[in-house]
Amino acid sequence: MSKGSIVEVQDLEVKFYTYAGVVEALDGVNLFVREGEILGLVGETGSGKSVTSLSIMRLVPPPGVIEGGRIILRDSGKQQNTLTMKEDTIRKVRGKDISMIFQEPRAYLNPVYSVENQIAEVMLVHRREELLENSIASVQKRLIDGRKAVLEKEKARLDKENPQGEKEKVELAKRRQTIEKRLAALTAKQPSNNEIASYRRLLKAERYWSTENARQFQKKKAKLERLRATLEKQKTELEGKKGTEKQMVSINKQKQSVMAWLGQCNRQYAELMQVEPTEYKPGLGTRIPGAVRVRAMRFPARFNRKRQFQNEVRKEVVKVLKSVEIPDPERVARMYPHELSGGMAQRVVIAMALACNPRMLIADEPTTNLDVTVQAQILNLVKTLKKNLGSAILYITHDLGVVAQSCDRVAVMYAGNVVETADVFETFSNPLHPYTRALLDSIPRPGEPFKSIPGIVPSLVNPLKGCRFHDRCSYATEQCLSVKPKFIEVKPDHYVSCHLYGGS
Amino acid sequence: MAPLLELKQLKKYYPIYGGVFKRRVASVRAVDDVSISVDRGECFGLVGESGCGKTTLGKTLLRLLKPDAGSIYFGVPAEVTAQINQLSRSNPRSPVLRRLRRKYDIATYAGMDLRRLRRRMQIVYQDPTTSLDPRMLVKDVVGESLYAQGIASGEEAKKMVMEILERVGMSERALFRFPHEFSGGQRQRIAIARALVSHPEFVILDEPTSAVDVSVRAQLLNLFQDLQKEFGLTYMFISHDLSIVECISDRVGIMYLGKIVEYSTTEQIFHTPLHPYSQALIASVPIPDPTRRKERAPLTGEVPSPVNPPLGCRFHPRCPLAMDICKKKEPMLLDSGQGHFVACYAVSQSTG
Repeated sequence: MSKGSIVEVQDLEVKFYTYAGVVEALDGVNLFVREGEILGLVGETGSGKSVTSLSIMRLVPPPGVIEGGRIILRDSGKQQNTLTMKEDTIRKVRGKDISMIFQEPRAYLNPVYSVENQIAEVMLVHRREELLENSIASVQKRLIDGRKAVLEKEKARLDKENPQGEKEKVELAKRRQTIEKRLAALTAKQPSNNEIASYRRLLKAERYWSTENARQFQKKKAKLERLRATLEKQKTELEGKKGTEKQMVSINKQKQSVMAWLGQCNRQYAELMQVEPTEYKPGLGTRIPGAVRVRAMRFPARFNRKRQFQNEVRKEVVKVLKSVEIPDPERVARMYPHELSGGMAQRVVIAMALACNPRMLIADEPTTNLDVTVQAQILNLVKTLKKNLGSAILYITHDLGVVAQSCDRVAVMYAGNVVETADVFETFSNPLHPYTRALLDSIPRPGEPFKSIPGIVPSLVNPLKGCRFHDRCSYATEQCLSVKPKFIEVKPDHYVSCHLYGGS
Repeated sequence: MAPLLELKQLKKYYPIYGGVFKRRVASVRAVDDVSISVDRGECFGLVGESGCGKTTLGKTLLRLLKPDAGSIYFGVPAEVTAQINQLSRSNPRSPVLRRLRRKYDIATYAGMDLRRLRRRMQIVYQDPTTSLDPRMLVKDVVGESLYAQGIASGEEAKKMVMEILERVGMSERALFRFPHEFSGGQRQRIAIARALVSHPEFVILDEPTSAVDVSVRAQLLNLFQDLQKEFGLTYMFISHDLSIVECISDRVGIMYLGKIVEYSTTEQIFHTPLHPYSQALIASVPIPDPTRRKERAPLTGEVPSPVNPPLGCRFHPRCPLAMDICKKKEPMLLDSGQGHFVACYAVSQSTG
């Protein structure tokens, strides 16, 4: 049923246990999204569009419970059921493999952090290693460039020299050779393991050092210093002692053990001092909480590693902002959400979702609150992103115009069921399910009377038995009242859940 | 035939206070120099993006807001309109004109005059959940204007409420219920009943269908059309959904940043839009037909702030046809033939 699908939802059931009763929000939802396509998920309010998307991310809020079904995430041949994943594992999936764009961009953005800060957060969670390596590489490059410049200057100086004596000439040639050798060695140099390790330590420390750790650090440092002082005192005392040969043997033994202790103490102290945390002051230019200063690294002091890393992250942020066609991304990156217009805020949210090149993007009514002219811009953006990234997009909307303009396939939802799935052209030219037909008929057309679907969307607290659409359906038969129709493929790639088409 | 409603250079600015003494430092020009007329019995569609002043215009012409300048003539006999027009051209300071305006221009109304006016003009708001008082029974929500206007009371009022509720498709059981007990579509029906119970001549529908689902939307739109025929109503239909406006309106005005940039019959607006903004707006509407896909967004950028609107034509920073004059002088709303009014230099140039 699902060739080349990235995400496949099978018989998903979600219930909300409210005081008013059990809301059967999803009743066996089946759908799949293929690589490089936009699947439009259409339905009225309360049909379960958003709950489906939240289930895929496993973010259904309580009192909602995922009661059954499977959500399969395919990743280069591997299959994983996200519903059985551990919380740690699913957190690695969220934002990286599957990410989401929400309806109300301003509610989604945090008003007190700048745009770059919020986009960087996603990157720091999922792309730390990559950014780290980039950062090391760029430090290396700058280092090498610097040394190269010095050597080249020297070389140029030597070139200008015009020695007279034979001896001087030989000397000059030698010097030139050494410089050339050094230059050749420079360009080939890779970051040493040591450098990478020290960088890792920095990042690890950044992650885990907190004010609490800083306090512990101070405690440990004081303890070690006290211990060292006593040991030193003992050592001098022992050195001052004199006695018989027999006594000297025992004194020497004592001295040896004190020396060993002292050595250990010094080593521990040195280790501790390698990662000395500076005090964490929120809001004073510290961007990463628990920032630390790492000593004893092989980079010269003028390369501030933290800043280097920040620059690397910032570069990536600007790159991703550029990819969503934001004009002047450097400036926008430093803005706060209230300074952005609606369309711009939505672009930022899209940038955030794209920060880790997700394999699947869920867009939950991303243009509902935007004006038509801006909506047209965002729709085009989504389409170009699909082309450029090749990721799958699940586009949730209630606007059939948007579906027709941008989606490749359409899934129609009604009261917690997917009732029909087909290619977009097929859906609009040959809709099969009575609900899909009614929905398409309700599009206003000039010169014709407005057609509506009789009745209202049913409550899901005590949902109808059988087909949930039967009370509004003009084709309903006895069977529809009691038996739930199966979701079957009536034509290649056209799935319907209706008794009219043999769903019994 | 005299138009039912005529707006002349209507302006509504919202002040922005700032500084130490909270002086007025700037204003949001929500409605800036709007002149339109609405004929009796028609449905006038008002279209524009969010923040362009559609709702403010609606509220100002109902006198829910006090206009800063301009006049609103509502239900004035044709000969009086002619006289006012003639006088304001020849002798704008004449006492006769002042007297006429005091009598007919509802922008100058106050007190009892306004109160009497309310009976004749009503409004249906966008979101029925917030526009209906949650602590009033439906019978009181709907009947309130009857009591307040002294139209009816007691049994008679109850009968009128019942009649109108039945007309909008609600049953008698609704009378003693609270608004929260109804679905969105039903609440909107209650709001419609409330607007129509005093039998107004003119009703503003301020995005009445944007909070309801597609299937319910069609029901409401049908109801609006039926009620219009039955009660001989005149509508002003404010919306950002062009596909609905195209179906329900007789004439359409397109607003951009507090100005009407184009207005004409629905057919002309949707088939031969003249203003570049109208063209872009109409081209932006996603067509529900996958065989007619558009590959490019017709317009870049977003609506500028109405606090500091661009000089000259307000659309010029986004306009593909912008010329030098557009940046300097504001274009006038001119008739380009058959009552098709456009405010654009490019259009007036091409038509001569």
